[in-house]
Amino acid sequence: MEKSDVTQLLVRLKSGENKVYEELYPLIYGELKQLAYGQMRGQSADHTLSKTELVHEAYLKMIDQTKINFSDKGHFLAIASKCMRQILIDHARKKNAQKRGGNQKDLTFIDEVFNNQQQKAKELINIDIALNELEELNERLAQVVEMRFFGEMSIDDTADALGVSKSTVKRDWLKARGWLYKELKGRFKVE
Amino acid sequence: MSEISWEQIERLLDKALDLPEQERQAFLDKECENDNALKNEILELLHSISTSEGWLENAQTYKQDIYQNLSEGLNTLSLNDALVGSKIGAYTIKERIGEGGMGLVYLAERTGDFSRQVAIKIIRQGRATEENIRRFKREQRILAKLNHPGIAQLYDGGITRDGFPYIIMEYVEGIAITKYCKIHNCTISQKTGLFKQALEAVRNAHENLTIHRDLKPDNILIDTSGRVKILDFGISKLLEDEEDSMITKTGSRLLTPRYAAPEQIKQESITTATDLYSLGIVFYMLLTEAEPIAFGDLTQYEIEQAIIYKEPAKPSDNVKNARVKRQLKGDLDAIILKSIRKEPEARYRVANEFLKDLDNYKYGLPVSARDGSFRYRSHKFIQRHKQGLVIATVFVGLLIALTIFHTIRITKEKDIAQTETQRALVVKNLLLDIFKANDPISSKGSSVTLTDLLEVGTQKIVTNNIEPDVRIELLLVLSNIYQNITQYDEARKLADKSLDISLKYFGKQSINEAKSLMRIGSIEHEMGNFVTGKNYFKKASTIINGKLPESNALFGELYDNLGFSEEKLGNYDSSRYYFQRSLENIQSQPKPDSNNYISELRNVARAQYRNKNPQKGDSLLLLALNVSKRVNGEQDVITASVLNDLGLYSMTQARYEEARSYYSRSLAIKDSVYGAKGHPNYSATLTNLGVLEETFGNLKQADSLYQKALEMDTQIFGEHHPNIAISKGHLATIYFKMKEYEKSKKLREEALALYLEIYGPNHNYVGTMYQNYAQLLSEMGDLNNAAIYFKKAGDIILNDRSSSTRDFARFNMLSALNLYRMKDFQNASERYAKASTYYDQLSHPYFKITSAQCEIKFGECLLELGKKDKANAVFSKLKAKIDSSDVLKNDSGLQALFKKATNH
Repeated sequence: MEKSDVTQLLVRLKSGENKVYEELYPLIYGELKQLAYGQMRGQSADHTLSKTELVHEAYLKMIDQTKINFSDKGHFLAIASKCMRQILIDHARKKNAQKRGGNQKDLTFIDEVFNNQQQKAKELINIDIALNELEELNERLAQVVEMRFFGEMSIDDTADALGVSKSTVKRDWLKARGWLYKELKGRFKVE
Repeated sequence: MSEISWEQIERLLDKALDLPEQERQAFLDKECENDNALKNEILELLHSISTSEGWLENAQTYKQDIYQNLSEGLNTLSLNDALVGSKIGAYTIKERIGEGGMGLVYLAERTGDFSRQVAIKIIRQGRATEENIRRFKREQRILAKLNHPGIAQLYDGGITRDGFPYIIMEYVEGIAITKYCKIHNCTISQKTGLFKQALEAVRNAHENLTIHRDLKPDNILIDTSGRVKILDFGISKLLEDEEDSMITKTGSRLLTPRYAAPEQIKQESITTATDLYSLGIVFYMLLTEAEPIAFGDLTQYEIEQAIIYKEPAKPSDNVKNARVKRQLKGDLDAIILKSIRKEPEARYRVANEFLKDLDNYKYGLPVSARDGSFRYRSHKFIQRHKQGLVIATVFVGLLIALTIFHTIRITKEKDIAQTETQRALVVKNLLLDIFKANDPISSKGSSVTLTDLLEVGTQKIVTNNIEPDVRIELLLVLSNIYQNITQYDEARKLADKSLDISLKYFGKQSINEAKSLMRIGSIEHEMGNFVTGKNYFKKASTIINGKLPESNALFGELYDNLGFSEEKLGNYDSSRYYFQRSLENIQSQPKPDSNNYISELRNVARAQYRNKNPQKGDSLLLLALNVSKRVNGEQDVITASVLNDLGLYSMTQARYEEARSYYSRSLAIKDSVYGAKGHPNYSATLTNLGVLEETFGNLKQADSLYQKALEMDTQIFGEHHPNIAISKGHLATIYFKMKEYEKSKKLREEALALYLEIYGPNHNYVGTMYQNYAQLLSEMGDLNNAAIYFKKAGDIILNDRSSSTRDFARFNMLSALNLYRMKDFQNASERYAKASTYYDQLSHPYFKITSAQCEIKFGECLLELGKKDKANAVFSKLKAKIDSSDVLKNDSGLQALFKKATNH
C-alpha cells in the first residue's frame, strides 16, 4: 500500500467513515509488526530500544505528512496504539500457552529467553484483562492507558487524539494506573 | 463494590486528588460520612496511585521481550496458517511440518509436469536489509552447490513479501538419528555405521568450505531408505549479519546448548572442529543414550559454564548395561572423548581423522585417540589375539597391511619411488609398533605365544603365494621384529632369505637387494660387528645411489645406519654428517614417521655433544622428549629412551641431580615395560645410573646396578658383546675403588680383550681401557707394565679428536702418578701441570679440587727436582687460590694434602 493511500484512508476516517477503520487497522497492524520485528534487529548492544516509539515510526512511514492535519496524527496514533496492544497481547498469550503445552524439545537459547519472558508476558495479559474491566468503568481511562502505555504516545498526542486537555490526560493516567495497580497487586511483583 | 458506582468513586477521587495530600483524609471522612466501603475504596486507590508512581511509565521493559519474540518468531497468528495455501515461487504451501529455533518449516508442492515435494523454511532470523538480502542470495547460491546424498539439497531461496528470508530445500521424510536407533534397537556397530555416514556428509560439506554450526539429532535424519540426511547445512551462516555484531551474537543464541561447542559459547571462532564436537556429542548420546554432561535443572549460565569447564563422563561410565560398557571401554571411550575435547585443537581437526579412527576401531587397529604407547599397542595386539581370530594375529596384521598397500599402490602408481616409501611405511609401522616391545606380553606369561605367532607369520609368508616384492617387504619387517626382540639368529635368517628372493626375482643391484643388505648390516651392527655392518651399508648405498632420488626415505634409513656405523667405529665427524643428513631426509618426508624423527633427533643430539656443543644437544633432546611425550605418551619406552639420553648428557655436563632424576624416570618406565627379562635399553640406563652412583661414591649401589646390567646383557647378547665389555669395565673400576685389585684386574683384562676384539686396536674405548688397566697395574705396584699401557693409552687418547678435556686431564693425572712412583719427577711434573690446567677448565667443583690436587703434586715434583723456589711460588699461588674459594677451603682432604706438601 502506498503512503498516499493510507493518508487518504486516515483523512476519510476523520470524516467519519467507519468502514475505513476496518481497512486501516490491519494495515497499521501489519506495519507495526514489521516495525516491532525491525526494532529488535536495530537494537543496540546495551539493549535499549531506539528513541522513536514504534507507533511514531509507523506514522512517519505510513503517512504522507504534507497531506494531513496535525490532529489527524492523533487518530492514527490511537489506532496504532490499539494495534500495538493487540500485537503485544496476542504474542504474550501465545507464549504463555506454549509454555503450558510444553512439547519436550531440546531447549535452545531462545527457549531460555522465553522462559525469562514468561513473567512479563503474564503481567501483560493481566494488564490487558484488567484494562478490559476498566473500559467498562470508564472507556477513556482505558484509552489513555492504551495510548500512553501500549502506544507510548506523549501526553500532548494523547490529549489531541482524545480531544481533551493535557491535565485531563495526566489525571486520567493517575487514576487508571492506580486502579490497575490496585486490581493487579499481589498477582505479580510490580517493578 | 458493585453497590458503589464508579462515577461516584471517580468524582470523589478527582476532588481528593485536587487537594494537598494532608487534607485528603479529612475530606473523605467528611464526604463519605458513614459509607466506609466507598471511603476505603477511594483511600485504597489513592494509596495505589502513590505507590505505583513510575509503574507502566517505562513500557519498554514489557515490550522489549515481546519485540524480541516478534523478531524471532513472526507471530503465528498471521504467518502460521496464513501461509498455508499460498504460493512461494512455483510451490504451493501445503502444511506446516515443523518449527525450529530458526523458523517455521512448511511442506510445499509443485504440481504439474515436474511435480515434487519440497520443504520451505521461513526464517525468522536476520533483518531484511537490502545488503543482507544480497548476502543471503549469495550464500544461498553457494549452498545450492553443496551436493551430497547425505545432505538435504538446497534448491532455492529468497525473501517473502513480508521481508523474511526463505529457503526451499529437499523434503526429507525421516526421523532423528537418535530416535531411529532407539526404535530399531540398533547395535553399537549399526549406530557407528550410521554415524559414519553423517561424518562423511559433514566431510563433504567441510571440503566445500561449509560449516553447519548447529548439528544435532534433529538435523541428522534417517530417511525412509535408512540413509542419513543432514538438514540445514550452512543455514546459520546464511543468516549471519556482517555489519551487525549483535546479530552474530543473537545468532549464537540459536544454538542448542546441549550440542554447542565451548568456542560457540565463548563466541570464539568457529571451525570444522566445532561441527565435529557437536557430532561427537551426538555420537556419545547415540552410544550411551545419556548426556555427556548432565544439564538437568541447570540454569542457562550454569549450562554454559558446564560446557566450557566440566569434563564429560567417560561414555563407558555412563551406561549400565555391562555388555555395552565393555564395548565402549577403551577405544570408543577414547574416540568419543577426543571428539568432544574442550580445546578445538585437541579434537579431530577434520572429519577424515574421525572416520579413520572409527575404521581403525572397526578393524582392531590402534586408534589415534589413544596415546600410541607400546602398552596400548601391545594390549591391542593381545586383545586381537584373545578374540580368537582364526589366523594368527601376525597374519591378520599382514593381510591388513597388504590390503592397504595395494590400495596405496593403485592410487600412487604414477610414482613408483613414492609407492616404495609408502609401502615400507605402512607395512613396517603396522607390525613394528606391535612387536617392538615384547615384554608387556612376556610379563603376562605369554612370550611363547609371541614366538608362536611370529613363527606362524613367517611360515605364512614363506609358504603362501605372495608377490615376491611384498614377500621381501614382509620378511624384512619380520626380521626387524626378531631383531627388536633380540633374536638375532632368526632375524638374520629372514634377512638372508629376503636377499635370496631379491637376487632370484629382481637380479643384481635391485632396490630390494639394497634393502636386504641394509637389513643384514643392521643386524651385524647390533651384534657388535660394526665393520661388517658398515660394509653392508656401503654396498646398499652403491646400489641405491642414482637409482632413487635422494629425497627417498630409504636414504634416510641408509644414512641413519651409516651414522651408527661411523659412530661405533669412532668416526664422529662422518657419523654426525650422516645423522644430520638422515634427519633432514626424515623432515623432508611428506608424512615423516614421528618415531624415526625422535630417534634421529637423539642421534644428532649425541653427535652434537660429541662435537662439544652441549647446548645444541640439549635443545635437540628436549625437542625429542616433547615430541615423544605427545606422540607416544609419558609412559612409553621411546620417551624413556630420550629421558635416558637427557640423563646421560646432564651427567657429562656435571648436572648430577638432573641426571639422577632423568635416569629414575627412564628406569621406572623401562622396568614396568620390560620387567625382569630386560632389554638392552634397560641395561643401558642401569649402567648409566651405576656410573652416576659411582661418581658419588655409592660403590655398593653402583656395583649392584652394574651386576644387574651385566646379567641382563649376557642373557640377551651372550658373552661376546660390547655391552658385556662395558659392564665388566665398570665393575672393574668399582673393585678398583674398593681396592679389590685382583678381582678388578681379571675383569679389566676380560673387558680389554673384548674391546680389542670388537673395536680393533685404535678405538678410543680401547684407549680408555688401556688407561684403566695401566692405572690398576700402577696401583698394584707393577710400574713398568703400567708405563707400557699408559703409553698405549696416550697414543690413542691424546690423538683422538673425540677426547674431551676431561679425558686429557685424567690421562695426564693418572700417568703422572705412575711416573712419580717411578721417580721420573721431570715427566711427572709436566703431566701434573697439564692435568691441573685441564681440570681447572672444567666447571664442576669436583674438578676444581682435583686441579688443586694436581697443582700440589706438581709442587711436590718440583721439590723432588730440587726446584725449591719454583715450588714455593706454586704453593703460595695455590694458597691464595684455596683461600679465595669456598669449595677448595672447605675440602679437608685437599687442606691435609696441602699441609703435608708444604711441611718440607
